[in-house]
Amino acid sequence: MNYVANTQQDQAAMLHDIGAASVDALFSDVPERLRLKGLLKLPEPASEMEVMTKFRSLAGRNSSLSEYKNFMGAGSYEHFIPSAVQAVIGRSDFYTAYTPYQPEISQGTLMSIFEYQTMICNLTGMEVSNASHYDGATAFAESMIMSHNVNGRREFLVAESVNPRYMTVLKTYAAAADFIIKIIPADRHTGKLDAEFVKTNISDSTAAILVQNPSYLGVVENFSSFSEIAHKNGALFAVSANPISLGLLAPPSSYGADIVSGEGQPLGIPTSFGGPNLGFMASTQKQMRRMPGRIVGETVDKNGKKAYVLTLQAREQHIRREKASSNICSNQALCALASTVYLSYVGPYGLRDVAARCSDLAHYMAREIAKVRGFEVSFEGTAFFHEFVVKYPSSLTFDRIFDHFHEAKMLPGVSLSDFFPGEPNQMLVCATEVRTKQDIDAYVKRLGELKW
Amino acid sequence: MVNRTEKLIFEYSEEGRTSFSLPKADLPDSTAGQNFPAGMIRGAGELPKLPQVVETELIRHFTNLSRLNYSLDVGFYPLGSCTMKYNPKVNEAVSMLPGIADVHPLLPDRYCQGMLEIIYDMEKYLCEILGMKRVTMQPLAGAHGELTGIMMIKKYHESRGEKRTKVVVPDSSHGTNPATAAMCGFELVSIKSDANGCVDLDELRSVMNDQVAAFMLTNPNTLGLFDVNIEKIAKVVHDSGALLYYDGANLNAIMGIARPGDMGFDVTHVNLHKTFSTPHGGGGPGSGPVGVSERLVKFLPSPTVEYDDSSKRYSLKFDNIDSIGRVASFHGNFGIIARAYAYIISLGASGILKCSQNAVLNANYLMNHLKKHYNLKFDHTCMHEFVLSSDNLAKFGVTTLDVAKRLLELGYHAPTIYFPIIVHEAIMIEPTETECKERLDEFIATMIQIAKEAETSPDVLKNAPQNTPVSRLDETRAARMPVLRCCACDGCPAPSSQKEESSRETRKKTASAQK
Amino acid sequence: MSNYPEDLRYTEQHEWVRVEGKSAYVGVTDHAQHELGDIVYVELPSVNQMIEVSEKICVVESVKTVSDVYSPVSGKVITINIDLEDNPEIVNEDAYGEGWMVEIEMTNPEEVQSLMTAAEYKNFIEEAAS
Repeated sequence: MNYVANTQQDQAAMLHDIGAASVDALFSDVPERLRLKGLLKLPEPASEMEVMTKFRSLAGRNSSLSEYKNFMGAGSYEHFIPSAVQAVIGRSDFYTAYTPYQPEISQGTLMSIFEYQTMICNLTGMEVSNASHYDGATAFAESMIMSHNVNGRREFLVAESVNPRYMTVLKTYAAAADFIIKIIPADRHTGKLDAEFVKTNISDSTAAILVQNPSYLGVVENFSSFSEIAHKNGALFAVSANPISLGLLAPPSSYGADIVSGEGQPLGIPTSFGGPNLGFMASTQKQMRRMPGRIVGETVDKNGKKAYVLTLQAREQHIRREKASSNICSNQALCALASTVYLSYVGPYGLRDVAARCSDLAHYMAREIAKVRGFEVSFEGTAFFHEFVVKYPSSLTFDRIFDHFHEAKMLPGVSLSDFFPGEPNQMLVCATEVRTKQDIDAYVKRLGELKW
Repeated sequence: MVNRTEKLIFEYSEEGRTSFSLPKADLPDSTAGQNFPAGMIRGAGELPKLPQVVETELIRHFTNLSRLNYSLDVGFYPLGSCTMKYNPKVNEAVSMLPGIADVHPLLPDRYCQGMLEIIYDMEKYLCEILGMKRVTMQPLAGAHGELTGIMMIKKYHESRGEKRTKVVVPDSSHGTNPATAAMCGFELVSIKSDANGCVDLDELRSVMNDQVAAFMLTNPNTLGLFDVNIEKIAKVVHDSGALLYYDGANLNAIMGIARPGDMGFDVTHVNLHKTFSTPHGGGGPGSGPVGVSERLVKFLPSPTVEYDDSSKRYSLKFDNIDSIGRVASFHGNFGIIARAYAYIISLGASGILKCSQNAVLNANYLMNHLKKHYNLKFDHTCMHEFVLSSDNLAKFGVTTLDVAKRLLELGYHAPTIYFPIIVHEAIMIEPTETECKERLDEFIATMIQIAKEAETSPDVLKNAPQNTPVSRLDETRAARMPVLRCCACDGCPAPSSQKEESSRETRKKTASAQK
Repeated sequence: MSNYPEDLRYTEQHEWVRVEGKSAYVGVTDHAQHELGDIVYVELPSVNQMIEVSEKICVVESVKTVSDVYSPVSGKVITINIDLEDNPEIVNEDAYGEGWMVEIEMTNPEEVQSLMTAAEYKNFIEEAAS
């Protein structure tokens, strides 16, 4: 394929105006020693037809959600995406537009981000949202950094039950910034966090307490006591929340969160093998100037007309440089737009219905699985949202279980072999509103057919 | 772009409107409400304030919003440092295929071989283009790639028992460079460029010592000039035990011509949303893969994608004990990676070379015509971009901002302005290879017209733009009195565009109502 | 243009000092506010904070720039001008009067003697401009 218009004639005319002998001569500053002598070892150019064929062949080797009934969650969720979302983000006025640094010709992007910020604030109960972050994990890490920027402290109490990939990202960022992370243990029987541990281990070196609610294991807690302990000790309380759950569950602001972050992928963004996703991040008015990332604000133009513009830019890297609170430049604007369309489409009642349907189906599924001989659902009596932990017989391996379901066109769950030291026989199972009672009954039947 | 007013979606909202529905519930009584701890279920009046609209109004709203935007599919973006090249449609189509768009990231390796092949091949292609030993696709944007690269450099020195506390950057660098270094706890040392806008070797020698972890550089630099001393620079840096970091923003100048790895760079990041044609999306998502030389391979983020030649299978390898860890939840911005992959296989080796050749040709063509009408501080063959100044128009009271706003009025997106900071009243222009000669000629004519207008009728520039939906926004007000969300849903009137006082009053009311 | 009140002392980083007994009132000069443009935010220190001479004490933001303000004297922060929180534009309007930023109880009052007089500061500005 070719996207270069310049013909040999065009090139000759331009070289003439430049006064150069050849295109090659324009590269005379590049030392001869460094000049590549032949072509790069890349494939031959492909026609559009060949690119399509190649991709269809690649697609055929992946177990996609269109062919398999999916019960995998663990940070990437299958939800129904209304057609309106693609209709909007597929408009090239949105997806081929640049970052809105010239506000006069970017009001479409700027207004939609302002709407996004508003919706995130309304969902989370917070007062200020940024224009998006990369994903849930990095937004969580930035809430760690932001806490440090607020109170100057370097220690963090982090829940054991957060997404393990988020935990790794936190540790990676902490190592770079010389922060210390202490893990708050989760009770093996209830799945809940140990409040006593927090009371004993919080100090005036603690910058923040970080939890995920619902946790990676699906558990829902009321963390009011945690935020109280944090605030009494001059620390912040940061929560990573599932945005679909916020249609049903109380917002983190109601239990004292100072910073709320999370993964916005469930809001109208396909799983897409894990990216692009959408990190959301919101905080209080008081901490507005410590928030990383772009922020859109309302103002007026020279004629008094209401207009939208990137603002508080003096926080950002292109102005503060090494004094910036974060290095973030690009965000996930198009994904934020997708979530804005999704939230506008479902509305408050639709979001509540989606969340309730997820929860209903998951609870039904958990009850039915618990009836199958040899299988247990962990944390009995503890509230969960749409994911739960299933313990399977020790003579089974996760691979065997997965293959058994895969043959029947199902994706049974995500392995927790590495999550609980000494307890490898567990998996995380998720049910969202795209599943039906029939799907779940088929799953339970298939489970019962496992020989062990 | 259409010049009209559009309301916020909340202003279309009315209680009870919706087009959304779910299939009928096929379960017995819902017990969802009974499980949750006290205080954790929203009551009836406590649902989040989201718009309530039917599909017609929703689609009209967002469609009308989109028409307020300028975009690459509409016209030219001569934005220096951004490489606004055309976004091919086949890349969009293939990334949205079932089996590509709808794949769960945590599938066992054996059930996502197609995805792993895309990641593995992209790493291979980028290694070849960059001259690096291995690449990670995990970083989610350019700045994120920089962070990943500096984290690896930090760990490299620590693994050798060395505590190095400084990072050196040129004064012409992009803001993300120093911000990234600071996030990793490094102290910044900024060095001045020489008279030619390139690295001052003596200055560099004077700051390089055993305290310095890395020198961050882009080549060509932010002036669009290729630093001919690059190998000497690499030697100075390596002699002091430091590593050389390549900011890949300007890669479009040299693909197929020269490779950062051969120049001596140890770590390079690439912006797929610049050099590799993936769409900007109004500010993302991007993707910032990072390439490394042999000595840094073991620090790459985990997992890595491996290929077994005998079984012909791809797999994820997690037991990389020296890895810095993870920088993202999953494998990177896969949808963006897939688009860039389609781009690279479409172009092939000859096409990739053609990109850089024509990017540089187009830039020199523009530069040679425009230097007669604007100041050109460094009159030297440029690479893919060049920096002008509007200083010659200052005597008419005209600034770079005025030139930029007049360009908006005349149907262009303005070039990058006021960057790099080492050129006063800078105008940074990068045409890319996907603009045809007629477009370039039109742009030249427009820029010449503007220079003439600056002299004969500067008010035309100062009053521009008049034909856009809004004009010359009050950014001071936006920063002094931040209004960062719509308050219409709270029962407060939307912030007024009249007096400052009433707007501030409204904000105070909202703030206290929230508590 | 810029003005240089006689009763103040000045620094090369464009801060001014007014001594009242044991206290030093500190702000940024008229020249500084002019260079910065419309000021949108002033970050003030905490009351009772101890400060060393030349240490960063405030941060001033305009739309497109950010500038550190350095303390011309050592001591303890007694008062901060909280009016600047909601009305940072006061610094633009009245840099030497209502635009004062902090009041410091000096620990070494002699430090003021080494600062520039109005005439010296005016010279300093004019020389830098040429």
